[in-house]
Amino acid sequence: MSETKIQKLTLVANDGNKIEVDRQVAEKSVLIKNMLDDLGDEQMSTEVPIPNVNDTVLKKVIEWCEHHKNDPAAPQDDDSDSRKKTTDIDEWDQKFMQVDQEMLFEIILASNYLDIKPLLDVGCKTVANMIKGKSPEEIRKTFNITNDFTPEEEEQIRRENEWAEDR
Amino acid sequence: MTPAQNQVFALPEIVENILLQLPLRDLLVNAQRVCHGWNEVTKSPTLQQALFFEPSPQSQTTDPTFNPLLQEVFKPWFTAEQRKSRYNRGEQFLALDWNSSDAKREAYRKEEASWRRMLPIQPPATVFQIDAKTYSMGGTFRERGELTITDGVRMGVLYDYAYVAVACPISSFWVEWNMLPRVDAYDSDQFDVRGNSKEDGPMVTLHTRHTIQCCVDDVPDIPWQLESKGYKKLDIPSWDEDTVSIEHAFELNNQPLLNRLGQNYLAVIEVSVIAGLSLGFVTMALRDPLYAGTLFSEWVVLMILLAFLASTPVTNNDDILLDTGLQAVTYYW
Repeated sequence: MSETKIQKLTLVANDGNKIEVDRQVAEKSVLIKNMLDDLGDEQMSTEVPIPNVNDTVLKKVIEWCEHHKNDPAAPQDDDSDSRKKTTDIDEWDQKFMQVDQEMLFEIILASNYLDIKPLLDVGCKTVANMIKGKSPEEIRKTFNITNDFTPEEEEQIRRENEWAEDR
Repeated sequence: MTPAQNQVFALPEIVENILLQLPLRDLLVNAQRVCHGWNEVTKSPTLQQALFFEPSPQSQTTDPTFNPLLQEVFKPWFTAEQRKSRYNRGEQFLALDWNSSDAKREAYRKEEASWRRMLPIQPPATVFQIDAKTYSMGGTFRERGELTITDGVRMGVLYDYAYVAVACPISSFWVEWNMLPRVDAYDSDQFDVRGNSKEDGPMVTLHTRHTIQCCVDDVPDIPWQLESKGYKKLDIPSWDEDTVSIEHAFELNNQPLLNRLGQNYLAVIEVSVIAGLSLGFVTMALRDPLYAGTLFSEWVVLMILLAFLASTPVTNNDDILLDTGLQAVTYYW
């Protein structure tokens, strides 16, 4: 035992709030894990600034990491595998994702920034579930997206795929 | 749109991740049409592969996956039973989603309909093989040919070839998926195909059968509304042509015709016809004893034919015998 590993880290959200977490929990974030690996424990101050994430979202993300801290690390290479299990979200995660739309997208952004792939996937699946079974117009309505196609452009895409439309 | 949502939808890699989680139908029909941004994302290689438009890399380790949407709407191309149902002829086509309404018929027929360029399986089959058998009184003619299509055999090709074959009266088809690793659910030892060596690549074979008969009306088995406007003729070099002798077919036999009477209405009809004919001969012979001798010999011939058909097992795979028997009766008559 040449070095004593830091066991606790303090994450600092962008609004200055500090949250203390176990190292194991914080390392669910590949960004933080790489930082610890690169800098080494000596140089790593125990305060880690997370400039892109606010306090509420950071707490929510940490809550997820706490619950999943013992999950085996997912294989990095294979994303085709995760595709097959589309829209299967475990029960705890489903409850966890029952938040307002803004929070859902905040979590997606934070997990993307912090590089927490499984959380990002859960977020994306949740959004996909909101899209599933909806017509283009209903999708636009759900997410307040402006239709920037000309009627001709949209009609062309529709014509090609009309055969597959739900009867 | 909320600020966070704005940011998320501005990141193509996240939108891609979201769209990748969608079932194929939602992705194809709805997601592509939401806005330019999403439409651009669906053009990424990953999503084009997920849409079965671009071939995904061949892999020795992962099992090939059938296109779930095509599998649903073009079932006969993906089911093993197809091989055994012989006399349904155009029925596979008539039962398609394609034929379910006028609107559907219009949508599927379109030249630009996207199912044509979809891959039926991922990673794709790169060799397209045809195995066409023609049964006639002169024997069975078999023609085989194949074509390598490096970016994958598309549904359009498979459909067109099956359509052309089945548009002739008394025809049928079935498809054999010879993939690496194998995916088909058939009994592999029953296959009569060339060994699928590595350099051949994954192969899909379209088997067609056509029975040429005299005195039959030329009504096609399927209506023209089931022809795709995008139909393109391919030049497929044939590598094997031969006439299979009828005796050879007997060797494959394993099931007596009489056993199939319950399942095969044609066999029933066939036997009834022969029985009816012989009864007719007997009646005529009784009425006109002068010709009794001649008629009796004819009756004997028919009885021999009947006995022959009834006792000779009929192959499950090839109804050469049944077809030939039917023709022999027609011819004799």
